[in-house]
Amino acid sequence: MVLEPARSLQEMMLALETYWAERGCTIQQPYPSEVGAGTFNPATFLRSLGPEPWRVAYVEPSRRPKDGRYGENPNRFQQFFQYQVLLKPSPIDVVEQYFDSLRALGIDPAGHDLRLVEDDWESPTLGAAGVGWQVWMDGQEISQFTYFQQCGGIELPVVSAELTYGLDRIGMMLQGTDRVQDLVWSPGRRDAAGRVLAEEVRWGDLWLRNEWEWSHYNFEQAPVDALFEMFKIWEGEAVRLLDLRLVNPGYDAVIKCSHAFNLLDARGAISVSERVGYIGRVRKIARRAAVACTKLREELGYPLIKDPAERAKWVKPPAPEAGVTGAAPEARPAKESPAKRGARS
Amino acid sequence: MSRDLLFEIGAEELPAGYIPPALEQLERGITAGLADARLAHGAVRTRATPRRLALYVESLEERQPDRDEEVMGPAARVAYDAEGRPTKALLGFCQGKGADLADVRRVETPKGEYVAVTVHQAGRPASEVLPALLAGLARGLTFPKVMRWLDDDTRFARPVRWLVALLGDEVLPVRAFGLEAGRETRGHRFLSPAPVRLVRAQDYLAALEQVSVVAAPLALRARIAKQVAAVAAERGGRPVADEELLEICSYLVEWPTAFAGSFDEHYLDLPREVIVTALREHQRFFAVEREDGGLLPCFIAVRNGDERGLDVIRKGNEGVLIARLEDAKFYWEADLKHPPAARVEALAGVVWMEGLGSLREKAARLETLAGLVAKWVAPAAAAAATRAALLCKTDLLSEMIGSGKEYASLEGVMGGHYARRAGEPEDVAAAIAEQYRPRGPADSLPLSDAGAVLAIADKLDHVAGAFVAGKVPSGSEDPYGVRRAANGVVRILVERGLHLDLGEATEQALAPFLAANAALAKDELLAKLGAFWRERVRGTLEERGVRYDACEAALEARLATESGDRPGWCDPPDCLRRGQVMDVFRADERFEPLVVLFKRVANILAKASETLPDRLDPARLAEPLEQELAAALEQARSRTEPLWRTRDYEAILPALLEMEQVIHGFFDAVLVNADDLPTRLNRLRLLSDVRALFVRGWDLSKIVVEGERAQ
Repeated sequence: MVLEPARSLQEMMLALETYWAERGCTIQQPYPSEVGAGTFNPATFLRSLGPEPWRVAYVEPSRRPKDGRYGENPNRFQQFFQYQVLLKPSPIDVVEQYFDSLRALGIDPAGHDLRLVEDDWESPTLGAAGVGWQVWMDGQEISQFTYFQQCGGIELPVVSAELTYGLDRIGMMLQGTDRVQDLVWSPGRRDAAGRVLAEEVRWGDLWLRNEWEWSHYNFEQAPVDALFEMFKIWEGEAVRLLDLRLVNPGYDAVIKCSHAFNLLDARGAISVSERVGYIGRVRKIARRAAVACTKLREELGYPLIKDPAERAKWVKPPAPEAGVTGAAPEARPAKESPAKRGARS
Repeated sequence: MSRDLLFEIGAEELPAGYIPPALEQLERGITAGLADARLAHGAVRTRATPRRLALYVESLEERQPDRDEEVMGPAARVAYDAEGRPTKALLGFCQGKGADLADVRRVETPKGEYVAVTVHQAGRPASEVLPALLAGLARGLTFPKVMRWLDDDTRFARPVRWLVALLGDEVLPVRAFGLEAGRETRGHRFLSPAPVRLVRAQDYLAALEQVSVVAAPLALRARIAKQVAAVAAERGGRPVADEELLEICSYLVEWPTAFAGSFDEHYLDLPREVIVTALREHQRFFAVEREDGGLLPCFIAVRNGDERGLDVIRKGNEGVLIARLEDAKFYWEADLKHPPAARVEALAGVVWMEGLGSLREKAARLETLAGLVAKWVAPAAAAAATRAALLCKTDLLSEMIGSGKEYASLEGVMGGHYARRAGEPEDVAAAIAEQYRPRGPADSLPLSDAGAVLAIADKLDHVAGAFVAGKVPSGSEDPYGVRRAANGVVRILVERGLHLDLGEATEQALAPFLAANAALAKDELLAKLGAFWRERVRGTLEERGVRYDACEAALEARLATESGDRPGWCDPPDCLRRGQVMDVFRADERFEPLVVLFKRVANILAKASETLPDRLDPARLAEPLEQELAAALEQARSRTEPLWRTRDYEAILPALLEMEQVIHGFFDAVLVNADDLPTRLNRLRLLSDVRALFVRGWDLSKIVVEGERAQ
């Protein structure tokens, strides 16, 4: 499916879904809790850990409370839409696949100035870091392209490529509008006789009031004392749940903690000197989740590795005395795991 | 027989800044590797684009020369038994080396008699030697930051996707990064995506040109420069010269097409530096100026591709730039509401260096120090320099520097603009703008006197503070830019010919820190700072071609100043002059005897453990030759005294040399270590005085003369 030049945002999403599904991606859905970026979605954060192969794509509505401008700024909003792709391991032609996906959006790379501009991405709260680029189209950043090197502070045994498209930005460029409010989200529909079945819907129709309300909430109404309390509660829950090997609920608590921090930050309730401390606390539980997940997947015998040769590389022969234990109190970098050592020898 | 060698590492888009150092490593590595492999060759050239690093070696010999090598075996007494028959040890050695017993020779070595054979080694073909050499070279490249992309420990700046290795028309089986080299390279990502087959190494550049890739960096740079100039001319101007930006651009594109875009004229109300920075720092655009130097409301960008879609691309780039200029304008207008003088007290809220108080305190220190520096080197600039010192850090509180990260490089420059707009005198504004100069070895110095004074004071304070805070540079690490600051001071002093006493200045710079913290160890800090500044001065002398031993001689002099003896490095421009004069004088036939003589004097003095009398007692000079030396010394002193004051070192050295015969005569005829103690001490005093006169300019014992090193 290749789109005509002036396409709606939802057609772009559909085109990307189709494109990446055809390249073997599991099409997932946004995470049903507030996240700051598609990376937070466990389909990326947890699945990038360990050696299991994984390809996933999904739209992620991302919340950045501090970036809200009450819907008045044409470029800044507290909710924006990312298209997130994770390819693990990263295919040899991953850059070509990315540029082909732009073709699927109707972008002719030769008719634009497309650049891979050095940018080593890092998420201090997730303890995640990678090497890669910002992708520029005609001087504007349209995507982030990252080879994950570390996640939750763990050096990754298999490198994933993460492609993140700024859908709003690309849409504005393709539709030739400077105002996000004017961005066509769904094109509307007419029947054969030309009668309107559904009107065109724009970003403004959908989100303008929403932006104003959330900006109002984020900057003025979010309950500071309660949020500090919630931060503490979710932080404690993350530790408790992860100790119980409930990796997904435990990681969910990490996400909620991170969002509480973002709201407090937007409210100006966290001073510059405290900021580093809070980020460190989120990173600590994110790391705990990553360690717990890595260990759990190993104990489960890496069910996503189907190829026998790959299995032999990563899965330890069962040791009778290796009982399934509870918590993973100490971090153990994956590169030092027995499975990894086995793979090298 | 020789053939050309091509080795190309094809990668995903490499950061522009990584490419030049990688090319240097490749060039150095292949040159050393080929020398090691005894393969003669012609010119070595490097090629690069964002997607490739390549080596091209002309006329590489196809085969190593044969070589006869003498291989040592066991000791003779082990090789033969008592009857002179070969032992097992010798037979084993022969077998191992494929040599005949008849070929074994006995050789004398410092360790005794050994046996040896000559082994003939046939040279190996280059095609056998090169694969491992090239693979090792590629894997050994280092970058500021590396990544993994395979599930092993392979690392590189970005994923490597292909390798080409051709010797003439022959593919070399180089294996690295999970790949095996072939003859297929790639063209431009979008203009010519199909793989390109190279028949022979020498087709490389031409074949790439066919697929829209310019792989010779200098050629690409020239092409970009020409295009940018042409586009600027169409807009009625010329590009603002920026060699560094040209170089960066040449590593960002494979096929350049320059085009112009516009911005609204009202942005030209912003300071020129702000506009140029907005264009350059993030977007890598060139600014355009008229003949008279005024900026035009346009920019020139270089896209990676051909003429297709330029209108769309222009529009996109203009949009980004306008957003940036809007931000800059917002900062600028907000900042103009706060005159620098009104921001001084707010500096108290900004920490300078951990544990060293606020910028407000720094401003107070700078006021005092700039006053002193001005008194020493530019009294007329004192008022401007002290006023500028008080205000000079206030731009750190501005929106432009504080919020707009991309304008951080305009620190100081913005302060100058804000001061000017607030009605401060021009020399104050200029000094503020110049306070950080020179920012590195290639940067220009402050032009104004007040600027030079403030720049020196700021850096002296920076260095002293860094030592107090323990942020001392070590090895190649210098995160606080302490060395850079110190080198800046030395350069300003040397190039402006300012005779400032660095020792005194360091003490003064340190004083307020000591006053604020009684726990600091003053003498230890001063000793460390002294050693540090001495190194900076030495580096400056060596950079300017002074031989290492002349540097030491000049640095170790004891300068006679009003405040007493000072080490030779305390006055950098003077130290440089003395070092240079010493190097020139080296050619003089009297040079070596002078040094020998001086060392003789110095050696005798070094051995004397007694405390010498304060002054020479002429009445005790009994021997004619010691009287003669005393007279010659007196004469040399009075002849050189005015010369020292005018620093006429070319004239001083010959004048000192006049004593040569007398000193020799003294040593021949006079016994320094006389039995009579007062006589001995008096003679040592005389020699010490002779030495002291030389040492006002040079410690000649540091000079290494021919033939001396072997001893």
